[in-house]
Amino acid sequence: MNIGKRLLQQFWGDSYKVNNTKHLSKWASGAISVSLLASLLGACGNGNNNNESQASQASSPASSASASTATATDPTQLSATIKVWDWDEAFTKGMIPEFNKKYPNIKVEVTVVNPNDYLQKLQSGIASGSDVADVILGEEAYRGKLFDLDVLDNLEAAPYNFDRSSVLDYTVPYISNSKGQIVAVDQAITPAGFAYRRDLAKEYWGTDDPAELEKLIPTWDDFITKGTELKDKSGGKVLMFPGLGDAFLVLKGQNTTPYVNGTEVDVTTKLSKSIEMLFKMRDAGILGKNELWTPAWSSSMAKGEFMFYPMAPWGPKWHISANDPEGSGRWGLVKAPEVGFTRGGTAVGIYKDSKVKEAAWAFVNFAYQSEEGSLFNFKNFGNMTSNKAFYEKQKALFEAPGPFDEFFGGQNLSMYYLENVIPEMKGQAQSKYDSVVDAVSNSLYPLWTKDQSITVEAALEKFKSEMKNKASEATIK
Amino acid sequence: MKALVWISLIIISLLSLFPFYIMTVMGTHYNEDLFKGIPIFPGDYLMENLRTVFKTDFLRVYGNSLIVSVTSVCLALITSTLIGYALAKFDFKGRKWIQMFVILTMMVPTQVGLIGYIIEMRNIGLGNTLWPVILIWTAFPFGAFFMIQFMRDSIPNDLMECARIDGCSEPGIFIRIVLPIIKPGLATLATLVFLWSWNNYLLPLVTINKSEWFTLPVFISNLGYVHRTDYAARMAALTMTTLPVLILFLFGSRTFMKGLTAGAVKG
Repeated sequence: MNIGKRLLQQFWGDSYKVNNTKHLSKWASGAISVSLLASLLGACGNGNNNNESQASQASSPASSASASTATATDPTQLSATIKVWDWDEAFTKGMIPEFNKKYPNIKVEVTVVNPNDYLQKLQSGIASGSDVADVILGEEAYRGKLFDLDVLDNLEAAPYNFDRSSVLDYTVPYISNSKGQIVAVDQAITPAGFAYRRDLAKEYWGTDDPAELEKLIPTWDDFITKGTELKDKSGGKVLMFPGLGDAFLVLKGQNTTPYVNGTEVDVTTKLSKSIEMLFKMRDAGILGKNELWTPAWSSSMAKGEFMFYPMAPWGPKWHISANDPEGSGRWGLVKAPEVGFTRGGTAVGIYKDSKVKEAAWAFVNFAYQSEEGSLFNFKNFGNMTSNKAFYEKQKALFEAPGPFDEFFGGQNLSMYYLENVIPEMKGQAQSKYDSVVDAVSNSLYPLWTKDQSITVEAALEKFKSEMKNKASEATIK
Repeated sequence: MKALVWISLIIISLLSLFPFYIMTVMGTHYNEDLFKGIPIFPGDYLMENLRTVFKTDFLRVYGNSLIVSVTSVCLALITSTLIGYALAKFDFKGRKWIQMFVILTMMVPTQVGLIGYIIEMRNIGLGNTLWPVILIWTAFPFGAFFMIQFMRDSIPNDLMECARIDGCSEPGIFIRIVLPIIKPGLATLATLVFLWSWNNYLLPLVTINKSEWFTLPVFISNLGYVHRTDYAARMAALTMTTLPVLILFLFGSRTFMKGLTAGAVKG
């Protein structure tokens, strides 16, 4: 019998013999000690790595500062590979070649990550110390949470030296964390007004001119009066909004009073007036019963059952014309009663442990703030930068007709946003509780639609208790 | 009576096939038309949807998924079978403990061990490759448990004794006697591992950071995602994704059933 066979028999055939179990246990203890040793060694290795990375981090500000002075004069000197996690492939495929014309030695690697999974992927990446993007995107739904994770770098410090007065004033709170540091720039501004059906406005109110409409609905009380008139004249066939969800997102967005202080969340300040007005509209019967983004809600746009849809600059393409492809010429844009609000929007920040901060900033700054990047962004994707100077230098660009102006009856949409909506807007400070408020709102407004007998007080109490369930560490007022 | 059985069988089959049918049909419509009501008849937008799918890296992603699933199945079968054979048919010190350990690891949810697993993979130097998604199946507690149970019941000890007396070597017994007997078990486990690794979402989502290594579920969830989600294109892609699993199940269904019911009746 050869040795190999004997060894195998020790493992397999005769292993129940006492002698061989001893062999086995020897083997096992040997294996355990080897693995223990290995893990110890591994731990040592880890420690070294950490020291190294800390050392390199410590030294990086100095080296980066000197590099940035060099790059300020010559972009071709900056050489690195940066990682970007983005969901918009069309954008990255267009913007990166444009960026590389100016920065030929910065390679941009894109990973497509959809916004629903973004935070989970980011958090597990950071927790496990594996690859994390240098450029991080925060969509509206989780932007506050992202800021509160404290993983984004302060952009007003070196090597970025971003100046908060260079962007539109109302956007500053949307890119600041709770410490007041600027940690991101806006991908595009998202001021919102109402898209309205010109044909219905003409038929029932005698005008489809935005300026005239503004005068008809300067306040929410006027809005309700005109809504009641619309309902009566049309025999209940045409109402103001498709559902409570649309009205609530406007009312909620208009109140930008800070309501979060550490873990104290003042829901009453934020929402009591909004819910009160919402219920006033509901009781006047001027709101439909559709939930946001449902099939019936989408198809209502083409059917002409409702006058208004809240709309930001991304809306003409993705929201209105997508759902009413035949509707060219029958839509218009008017500002909301009282004050503007924001809808959607994505913040772009830089990972604070990134090894290539300057290159990452070069990309972010180019794509979302620089003149050439903003120009490309607007012409190709309709994204409007938050950079003030751009609007002064490129005024003619916005005065010229945009791609969806024809669809909106020849109205200049960009100019309307810039001149009629933005000037009076205010921003809302961001926190991780914003997404909780949104989640609770989305779960409760369908109930308010079904059960019309709920009072404002009861609704607010219910809101608070739901908030408490979802954010148990917070004090809800 | 027979007619009644047939009718209810037909109804149940239709009910379970209906979602598949709807998935296929939805892939042939224009995305926005999907919301006007559940489409019953095929539309004329299939080519456009396919174009949306194929202008991306769909084929490469498909290849990635095939590599992951096939390799996972092979590795999981090897380790699970060996563990099952050792624990079911041999007696040695600590056997019960190992068995207990296998069952204990089954109780730990994947999500809990996820971060640790990623750290481990990174330290081995396998971050940003397909390996983390594959290697998770090499230590597959359910597979080991399944094989232990399966072998304990389906391989007669006498048969192994006979082979031993006739002078067959231990590896020989394993390859010539044991493996042929446990074919149904292998087929069942292979199908399950294929299915689970094919549909695995969380692990590739958090471990793969390069689009070129994406697997199908992660890829499809990113398909056509900017403000407007292209569900129709996703459905077309999903239909193509479901095909291999469906074919695998059709071919393996006979052995699969045997595997699932094996051990239910002691012979």
